[in-house]
Amino acid sequence: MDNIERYLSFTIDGRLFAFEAKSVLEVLINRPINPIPQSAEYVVGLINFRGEVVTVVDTSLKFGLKDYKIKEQRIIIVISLTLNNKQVKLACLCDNVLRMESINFSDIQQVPSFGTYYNPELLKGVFYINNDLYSIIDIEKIFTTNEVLIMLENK
Amino acid sequence: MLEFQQKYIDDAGELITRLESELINFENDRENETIIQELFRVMHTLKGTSAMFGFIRIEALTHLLEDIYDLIRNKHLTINQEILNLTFSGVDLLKLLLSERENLNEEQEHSFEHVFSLAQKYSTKKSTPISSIIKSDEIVNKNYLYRVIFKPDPGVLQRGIKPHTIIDELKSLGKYIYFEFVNPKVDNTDGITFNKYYEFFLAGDIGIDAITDVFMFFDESEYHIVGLTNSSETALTDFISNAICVGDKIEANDLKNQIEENLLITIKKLPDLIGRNIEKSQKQVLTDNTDDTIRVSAHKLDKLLNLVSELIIVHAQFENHSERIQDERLIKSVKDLSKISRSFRDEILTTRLIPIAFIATGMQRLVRDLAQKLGKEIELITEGLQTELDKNIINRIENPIMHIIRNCIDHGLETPEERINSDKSPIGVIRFIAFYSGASVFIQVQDDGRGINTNYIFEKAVSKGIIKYDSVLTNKQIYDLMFIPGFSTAAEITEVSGRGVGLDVVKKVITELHGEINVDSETGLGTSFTLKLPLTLSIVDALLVHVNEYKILVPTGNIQICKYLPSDFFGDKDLQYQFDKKCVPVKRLSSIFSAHEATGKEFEVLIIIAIYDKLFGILVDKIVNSLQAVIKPLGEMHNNQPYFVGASQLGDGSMAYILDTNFLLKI
Repeated sequence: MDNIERYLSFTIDGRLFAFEAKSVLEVLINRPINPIPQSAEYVVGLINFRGEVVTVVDTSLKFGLKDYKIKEQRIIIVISLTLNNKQVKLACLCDNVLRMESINFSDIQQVPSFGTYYNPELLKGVFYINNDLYSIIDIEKIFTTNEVLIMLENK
Repeated sequence: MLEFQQKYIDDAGELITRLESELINFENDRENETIIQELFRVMHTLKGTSAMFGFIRIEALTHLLEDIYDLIRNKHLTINQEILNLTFSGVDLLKLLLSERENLNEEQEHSFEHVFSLAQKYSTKKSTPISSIIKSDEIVNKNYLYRVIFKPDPGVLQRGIKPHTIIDELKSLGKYIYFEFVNPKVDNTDGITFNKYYEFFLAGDIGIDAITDVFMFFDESEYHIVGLTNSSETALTDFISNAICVGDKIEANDLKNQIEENLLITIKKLPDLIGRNIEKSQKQVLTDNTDDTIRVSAHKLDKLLNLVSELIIVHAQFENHSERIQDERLIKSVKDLSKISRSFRDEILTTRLIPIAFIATGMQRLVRDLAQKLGKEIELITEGLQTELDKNIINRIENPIMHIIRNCIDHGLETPEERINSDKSPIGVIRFIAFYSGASVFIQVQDDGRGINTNYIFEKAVSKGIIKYDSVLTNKQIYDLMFIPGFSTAAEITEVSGRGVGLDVVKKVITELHGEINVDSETGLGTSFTLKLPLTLSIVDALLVHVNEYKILVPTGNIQICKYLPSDFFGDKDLQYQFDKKCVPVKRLSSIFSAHEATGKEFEVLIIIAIYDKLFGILVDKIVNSLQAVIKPLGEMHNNQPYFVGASQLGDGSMAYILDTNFLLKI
């Protein structure tokens, strides 16, 4: 059991992604989002989460899925990450949350440096379920820099 | 390890402050033996704990000071101003050593050596210490014999504590014998588990406080102290005292036999040497002087506050639902809940408040030092030191208040000769008053000096180009000139007042805290600075306004007026408004916050805000109401935006943003 890690899988624009389950705090549905003026493009607004103010980001913009904007702002995954040595919470919009996956360590593969859409630097690895490829997001790397495009320019 | 070191730094900081305040008391009451005892005790504790955490220079310096005060309390040395000054410099160095973690720069190093060698000079005036020649019968008569069991937790080394320093400390308290045992049940092959424990018999003129102090970093379950009385156990005390004085080795078994023979009743109560449970009845001896306060991290309080405001919001939602359902019992319960949750929030808010007395020691010290340096006689009178304020506010205003006091002493108070010439008492008075008024705290610093010379201020402002020579100003307007950046001049930067902060900085800090500062002065009678501060930074009084789809909170502190104006009153560019015979620049918030402009508005609201001495206007769509908002940080992602200081949850669950009016200065 020790070498099994759990992942939360979700979709954006039909693509499959996964967060490490240990970083996920809660999945919120239909939570009203308060827009905030003068913020970065990928910031959708703020929500109140367990008494704290948490920023909602448009994950598709942050991931650099160009020409795609999450239309129905219904589903939010709240994650926790370390930013500037502080534990912060972040709310990520996505199209759909699929399920929890239990994956054996040995089944996690290195990101192929060739032939993927994504910048391998920003992924922790990939895994396959029924021939579907899930990309594991490196939360710390993606959200600690201001503008990171996960997708390579030349796809 | 780091965590424990932080605890040491906190504790040591408190001890040093304590030392300083006792020292100030001592200077005014040099015969008071209780104060000397207290000074000595604080130094002793500081020395011990510093050694334990490896702060050897603090230990060394405190040790010397302790020696000096030992001589003083035993009347081998008479206190004089020189020694007092030396001790004050010593205290300053201790603060420095603590804040710099003992890494001093060259200049600081130099003053350390100076004070250190001076202290050495005094401490070696020691004659043969009498306390070390204790005769056995004295011990028995005085009957100060303690049995101390010290059984550190096996994880003690990971806490960053070296148990042998405890042993050394106990040894230093008086005559002793002790035994070291190894606990066979604990495996220490990993090298970091501690498996020893100790039994001490201590004899000498020792108070139980002194022994408990040694254990200040240990849990009560790790040590046990019993005073052995003389009545029923004479044979035992004799036996031990003899052994101690003669320096005999006592075999553990011999001792055990002795104890069993003489102390059958007591031994039942004593914990077994290997057992670890201490009965409650005996624990009482140890908990006698524990304070009824506990230290809680501010972070935890913030979390509590978050949860409570959450509770209030959920409650508001309940209220909405219950009004719809119209069930009387439900409405009543919701009302009760409302009362409880609100008073709950108020209580939590007060936990962040600490008394302003926190900075009193610093003030006393400042007044003392300046009086000496400037040859003035000054009395500091304080009132309302128990007035409580948010700790963050107190930390922020400490320097500004010191600066005001410095100003009052340096510029306000006259020399004794001048005072006598103008029929005043030669002793100048600085009065520090703090009191509540509504949700604000007022702090006044008054002096009974010469008052502010308005002509001088006026001329200086003219020469600096701040005002024109033919300006007509009221006295109040002239006083306000002192808060303008660039007013204070090189001519004024004496060693005392010129420390890089001018009154403009004072005003800036106070304004940032949503407070106000005012000056009043009467020629020949004195000057008074009045600070008005909010009780806490977590709550702000604000106007809720709408700007397009956004809800914005404008802190009421700096608002001058609000005015409804037809929306065609202003054009689109370079908006201005005539107010108080001044031309005020106006910003329309909706054009800053969003690209699109809501159309069809009939009216707009102009809000005039004062920031420092400047006036600004902002235009909003409408004012909803005024409320007290609990401020919550926006989080790391929004650190770079200049517009908001935080967010606040409204009763309907939506969020409003608290405007940082300072942004108007930047655009």
